[in-house]
Amino acid sequence: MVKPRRVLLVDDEAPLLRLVENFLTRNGYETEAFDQPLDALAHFGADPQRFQLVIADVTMPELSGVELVKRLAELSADVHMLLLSGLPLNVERFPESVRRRLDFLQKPFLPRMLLDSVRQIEERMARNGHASESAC
Amino acid sequence: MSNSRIFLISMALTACAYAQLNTSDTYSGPEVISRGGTNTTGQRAGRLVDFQFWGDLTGIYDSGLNGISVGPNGQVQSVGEEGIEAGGGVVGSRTWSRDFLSLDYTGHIRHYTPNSYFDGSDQLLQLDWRHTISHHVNFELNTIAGETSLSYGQLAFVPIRNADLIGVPQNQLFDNQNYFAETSGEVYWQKTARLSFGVGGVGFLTDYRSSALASMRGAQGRGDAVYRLTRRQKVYLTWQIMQFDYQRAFGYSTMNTAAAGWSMDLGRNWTFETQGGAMYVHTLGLIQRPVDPAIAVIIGRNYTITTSDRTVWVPEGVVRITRRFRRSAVDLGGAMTVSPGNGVYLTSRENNAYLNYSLVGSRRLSLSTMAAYSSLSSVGQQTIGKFESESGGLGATYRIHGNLHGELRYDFYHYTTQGAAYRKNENRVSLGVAYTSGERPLAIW
Repeated sequence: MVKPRRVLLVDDEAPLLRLVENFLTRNGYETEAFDQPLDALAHFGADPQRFQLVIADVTMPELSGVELVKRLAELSADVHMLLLSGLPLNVERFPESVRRRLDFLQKPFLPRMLLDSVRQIEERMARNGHASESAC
Repeated sequence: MSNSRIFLISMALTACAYAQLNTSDTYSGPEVISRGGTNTTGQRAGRLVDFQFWGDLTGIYDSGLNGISVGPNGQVQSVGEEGIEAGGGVVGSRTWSRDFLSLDYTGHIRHYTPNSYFDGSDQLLQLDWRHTISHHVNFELNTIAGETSLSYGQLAFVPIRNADLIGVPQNQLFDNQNYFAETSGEVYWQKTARLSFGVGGVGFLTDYRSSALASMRGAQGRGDAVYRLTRRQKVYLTWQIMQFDYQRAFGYSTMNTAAAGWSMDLGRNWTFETQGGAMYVHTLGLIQRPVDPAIAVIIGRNYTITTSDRTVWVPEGVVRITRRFRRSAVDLGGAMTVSPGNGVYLTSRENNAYLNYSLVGSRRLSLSTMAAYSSLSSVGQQTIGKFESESGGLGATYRIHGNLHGELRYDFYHYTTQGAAYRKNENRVSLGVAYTSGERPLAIW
């Protein structure tokens, strides 16, 4: 099974970033956290294959989460993305190439809900991985 | 009788008393809190005992049992249940030339009729091992591990005192199965006859079966310097760093503690220990905040959740007074500290006080009684009211014939939560028989 063992976290709210980082690390994920979206984008761009999953807040200065995931999708065809926001998000406005790799979790959420979302993404990645192998 | 003869006899009696107190040939002064204080593992009525096995079978009645669920009115529901409980244990200690081992194990399983929802088990293992590495260096390993299924399960472990524990669940809100373990290892270096240094660490965990409660992992590192002022007095400085990490919640805490302490043996039987200092507590978590009613109408929610990143200074203090009689012991104490909470309350300021008395008679009777008060107030990870609890218990065994004993115990546990305006009154009565391998009156608690 393909697991997004390395996760890029992006949120300008540093305390929440540390909580999510601590929680995912405790649950077996390797995480790298950034509170500046442009820094995260530069880090991701240096080695796009390094991360299997990106978790980002929507409302951030300099670069919104919506814009961030669009740029990340251009840099990597494999990365999956999970956006977090306190406001509803219409995922239909994203292009198909981004939408099929994008999930959304509305704040506030319980730790279990975040973990469930990440695990659902894992399962989808595993299914897609198996499908690709079968096609080959 | 001449004065010199009286003086010699009294000196000899004093020396005997100190030898008994410390179970070694040389009296090394009073214990200090930073090194665990006066240890109670393997003891009954304040005395170390030879290994003694026992088993018991009792009928029980519990009132006020509550699971983690609410009734149709939204209130936590309590029920009373009667049932049967069976258990056993072993207590004792042994000394070798370079090692000392003390053990205390208690285990019980219970079944209620006609409802089995609250069936469960309690187990507690305490194991202490001291090893003399060299003339000046000693190593000590202490372990406490077990499980409880009742909110006042710790009452069954009366020899443990509130202030000793980090990982042992106390102040529980619900009768839910939980598992706990706490292990510490320390090395002590006796640099001179008066000065010694200690360094060590503790790892602890509390796991709740219910996923609604926040399990916890934690660790502590600590060091101290102890100076023996006089034969009977010691002073010390200690520093600790500790972390609580909550497993099913977004939150963790880090605490740095600096404290000074003083301990003193008062005469043959009394020991006074005190410690005071300050804790620098950093908490990180999520808290609920109310939303302005007008905004709540728009967004359809009357609260929001935000991060809480808080640093506070908290006073820390411990006082203990212990008296060891020939067949009985009294422990009185209290503490202001920070605790990992109870699965609902996370990192909390805790104030507690306790009084324990135990007696092992010479022929038939053993007796143990305790009373305790505890309060929890969230340090910063929650907006939740104060929790206060009072608990107490009285247990006795009486030799009926040979190694067969009658056993009677009563415990109560009462708590209130200010924020949720929730109260609980839990009472337990148990009556049964017990069998022991020892010759002395059976002392279960």
